[in-house]
Amino acid sequence: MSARTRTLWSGARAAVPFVVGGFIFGVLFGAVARDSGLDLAQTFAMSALLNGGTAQMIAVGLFLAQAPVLVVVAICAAVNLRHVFYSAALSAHVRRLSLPWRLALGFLLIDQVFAMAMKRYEEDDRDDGDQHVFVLGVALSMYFGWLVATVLGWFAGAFVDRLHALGFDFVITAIYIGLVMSALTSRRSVLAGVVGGVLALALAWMPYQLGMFAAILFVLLAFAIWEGRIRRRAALDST
Amino acid sequence: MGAVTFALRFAFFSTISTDVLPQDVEKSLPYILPAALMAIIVPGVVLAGAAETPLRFLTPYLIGAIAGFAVGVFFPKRFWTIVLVAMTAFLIASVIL
Repeated sequence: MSARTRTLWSGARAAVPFVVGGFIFGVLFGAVARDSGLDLAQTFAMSALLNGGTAQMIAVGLFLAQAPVLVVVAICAAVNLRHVFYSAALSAHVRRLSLPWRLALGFLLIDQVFAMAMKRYEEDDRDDGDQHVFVLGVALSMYFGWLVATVLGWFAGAFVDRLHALGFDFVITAIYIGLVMSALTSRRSVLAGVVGGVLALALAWMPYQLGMFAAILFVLLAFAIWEGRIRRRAALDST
Repeated sequence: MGAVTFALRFAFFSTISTDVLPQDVEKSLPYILPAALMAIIVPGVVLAGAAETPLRFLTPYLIGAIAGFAVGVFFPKRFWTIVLVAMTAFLIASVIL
């Protein structure tokens, strides 16, 4: 096994807890899609092309309500708007990669992949490293787990509610808590986390997860203004 | 839908670099990770089960999360310890509550 393959596998293995947590949601989506009248091919295509749980779940509901296609697309974009921030935050790390690599990682960039990627790049900050191979391992693991779960859910149907009732979905939250603790490295990052969390909760009434987007945007802009002030003050002090 | 979602994720992986952003915004990009994770965790934990029992504040989700954060404050780098403690607290609370 080459070093690259080993790295790919270690990424795939590292994602296993996330795959397990996401699996339940994938199964749930498959079951809901079938209930909503989607056939197996349509359900599978949705997971394969969109690769985003919440957006898919909402899209199925909208299709069922016979919402116009443009409305479905717009709402889908709203749900996934936060991914622009992920793309921006990882941009500096992936800039050196070839186009096929960037296309692949971009397509597979979901919440969990972003979190694992940031952790990896923080632990290993070499400019010419193979961190992207690790990230691809994480992403592929998540992607295939999601596809398998969707198909199983489509077949399993009624069994699904029981799994959900057992609270397996908490696995993902527990992992996010583990990840966020290692990201809270400074007072400012703690503040960013607290403001992001409280604001997202306060704005949770907004439809299509726009509250989450608004919270992240607020933190980004507020910190940009703050950082700018600090920088300008430092520049003034040094003159 | 797939195309729009892809466009969002690929946005800054394309030839557009983050250089187009004002320097102050670029400097704030590292804060996205804690902000985004907490924006997912907090509403998820606090509002979990709220639909079924609107007045019950103390859910297994909240207890599990508090346990995870409590361990994380003291051992922020022990990823698996945090996850396991949170899961255990969640499962115990699910049985008791």
